Amino acid sequence: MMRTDESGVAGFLEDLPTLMFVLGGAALLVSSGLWTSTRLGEQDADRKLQELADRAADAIVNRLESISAGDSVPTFGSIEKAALPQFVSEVMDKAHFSLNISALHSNAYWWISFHSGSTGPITNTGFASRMINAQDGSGLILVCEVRLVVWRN
Amino acid sequence: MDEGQLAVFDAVVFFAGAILISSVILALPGHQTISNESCWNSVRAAELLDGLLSSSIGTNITIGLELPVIVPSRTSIRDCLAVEGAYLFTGGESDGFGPLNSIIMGLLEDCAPPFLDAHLMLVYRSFSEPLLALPHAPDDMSKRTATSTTMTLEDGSELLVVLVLCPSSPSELVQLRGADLHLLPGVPLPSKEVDV
Repeated sequence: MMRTDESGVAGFLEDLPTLMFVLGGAALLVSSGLWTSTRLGEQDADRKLQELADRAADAIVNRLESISAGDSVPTFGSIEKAALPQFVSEVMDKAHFSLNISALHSNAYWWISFHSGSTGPITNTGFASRMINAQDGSGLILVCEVRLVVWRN
Repeated sequence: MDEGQLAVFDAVVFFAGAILISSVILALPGHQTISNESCWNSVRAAELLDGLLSSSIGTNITIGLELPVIVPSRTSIRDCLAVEGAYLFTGGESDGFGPLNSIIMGLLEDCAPPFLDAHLMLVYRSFSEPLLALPHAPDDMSKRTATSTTMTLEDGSELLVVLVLCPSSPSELVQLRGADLHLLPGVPLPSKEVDV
């Protein structure tokens, strides 16, 4: 019966190319959708970490401004004594961080750095930077940069 | 065209449509990254200008006017620019302010991001040409980030301090910056690093 049925949709030569095009197109759609959803998920996680880094950097700057009571700007000494590691750890919400505050002037070699110890591969990162003024030991007011890198394992 | 060929044709159209849709889907994550970068620069420019104007010049200098003016090292750049702006506004020449302008340019280079060229200008509202441009007025005004603040002089005149950040040319990015010297071996590191 099959051999004499001439109203069939296609023969062998049409079936395979059709199947290949359909399967290839479907695979393309599925793979690009999966890749994009993964990337968007990573970007969303990065965006949340970025927001956390921005909030934390603002909190650090507010903290530094609050310790400059009496002076117009914080001094290097008051920044070093501000218990920043504990403060940043409380703000970080279990994320790992590296905080660096450094004077940007080329003839002022002052910097201070804190980081949380972590091992393992880094999955998502966030970064925030703020500029503040701080006073050195001789009373000069310098521009300092607060750099905060946040990541999750 | 028989039905078999029509089926192949439909499959090819589906495949072409899948390529088109996939390219659109794959382009989605890239657009969001670009918008985040452009936002960061404008915020930084305002912070940079405010921080720079509030900082000290760091060196005692003498401004060579008719009567030499001694400027102590703790004087803020904002006050220095106010004096220079008032002088230039009355028609004076900027020659005597050379040492001060060199210091301001040095601080600007130290504090600006290494991938951006920073230009600081003093502009009076009524004039289109800046009274002062350090190191010079920017040539390429495309892709720039600008911020400004108003400075009131003693006579009540208002000057605009404008900071323009332009992308650096690639050849300038390989130059070592003064601010990066503390990363080189042999340079003293008086500060401390702490594990939390």
